Amino acid sequence: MQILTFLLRGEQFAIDITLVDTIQNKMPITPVPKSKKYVIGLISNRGSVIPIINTSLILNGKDTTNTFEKFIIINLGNEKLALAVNDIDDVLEIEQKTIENINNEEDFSIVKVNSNIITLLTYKQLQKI
Amino acid sequence: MIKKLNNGDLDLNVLEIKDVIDIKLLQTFQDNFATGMNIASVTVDKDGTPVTNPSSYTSFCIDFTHSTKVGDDRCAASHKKAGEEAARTRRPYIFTCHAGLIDFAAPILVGDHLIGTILGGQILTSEPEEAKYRKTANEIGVNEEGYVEALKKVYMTKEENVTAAAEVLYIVANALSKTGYEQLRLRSMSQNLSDNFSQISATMEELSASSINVTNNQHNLSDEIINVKKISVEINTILDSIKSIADETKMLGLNAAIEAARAGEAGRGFGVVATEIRTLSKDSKETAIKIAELTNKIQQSVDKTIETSHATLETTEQQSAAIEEVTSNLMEVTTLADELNAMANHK
Repeated sequence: MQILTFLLRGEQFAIDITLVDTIQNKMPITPVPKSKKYVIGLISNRGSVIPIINTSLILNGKDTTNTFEKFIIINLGNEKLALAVNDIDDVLEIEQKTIENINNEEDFSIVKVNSNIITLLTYKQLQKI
Repeated sequence: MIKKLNNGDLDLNVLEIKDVIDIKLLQTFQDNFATGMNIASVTVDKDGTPVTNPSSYTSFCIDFTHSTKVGDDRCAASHKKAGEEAARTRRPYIFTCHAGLIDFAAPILVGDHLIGTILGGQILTSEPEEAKYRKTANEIGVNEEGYVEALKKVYMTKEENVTAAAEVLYIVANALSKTGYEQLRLRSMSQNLSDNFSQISATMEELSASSINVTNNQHNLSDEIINVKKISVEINTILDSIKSIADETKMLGLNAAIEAARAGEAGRGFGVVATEIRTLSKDSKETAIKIAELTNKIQQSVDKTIETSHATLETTEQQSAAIEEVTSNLMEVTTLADELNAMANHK
């Protein structure tokens, strides 16, 4: 399988590439009042309105509001979400079996790439958003 | 003859009495001295040729002794011998001439060089023996009676008077020659001084002009270097846009990879292309970074060069100023040397 790696505050994370619709440079965000804490705002993309998720809050609890540069737009069923990240890193080919689940709930998975351990953002975890 | 040697000194070997002594002045002195002292004299150059007219010559000598060739030759031989003796001792030489009169020869010197001789005398210091003169008259072929008559008119004085007279002529003539020679040297030296200063002045002017050139060139150089810096800054701007193009290319490559993945097996070929695009963007960015490093080095070098160039410029400007100052001082000195030369040469 292929994963898309990205950076958040210097830390490397990854996402299953099949979940990704597209990636793009940051663009003006329309803030949404009284929204959920991890929703930064909305952007308009190819005719649809997409919520921007503060990925840092979900993954490592740190706020990257002021430093994100790129959006990863993902397909979640019929919905689309945009993950705000500092930078997109690369597309990597990995073996399915190198993925290890951290707990039974499959909230987090990790994958070893060239002796680096990368946290893999899963479908389940994204569904919780 | 006044001739300068290569080192600027006067050539004493060709220096003549008329070069250092005003002959007219000498003649006046010699005439008055001869009349006053009743002692004949004449001045000859180093070859024995008279340069003054004879003063107070006795009839004995001029009308008789010199009147025949034999007498004249004897006189010449006698004078020559005395002149040589005087030159050898560099002192006045008192002697008895072939005809029996008391004569003297006083050398005129410039340094160690003989330039002439004052010959004089034609007097007696004791009663003459007539017989001896009659014999001489016959030998040189002049009238014996007339010769003895003329002898009786020859002035008689004490020997110390002759010595003193010779000494006076010697002292005055040599003082004149010394003064004359010093004046010649002064003229020559002041001429040299003036010539040299003119030359130095001209050279300094050239130097001054060329130092202004150096300063101008340095200015141009500084301007060119600053241009290089401007260009390297422009290169950096272009590199920034290359970097941002590389970033965009990377995004394009990543999006292509995402599309390829979504297409599954059908997108495999496209996936390879996507990877190539990403590699290309990475290479472009690295190259841009390397170029940026190089332009930074260029800028550092240029900064150092500008610093050095400023220092050089300052130095050359100081040099120019110093040269200008020297040139203006030199002009004053040259004027002084010219005035000195004019004064020495009575221009």
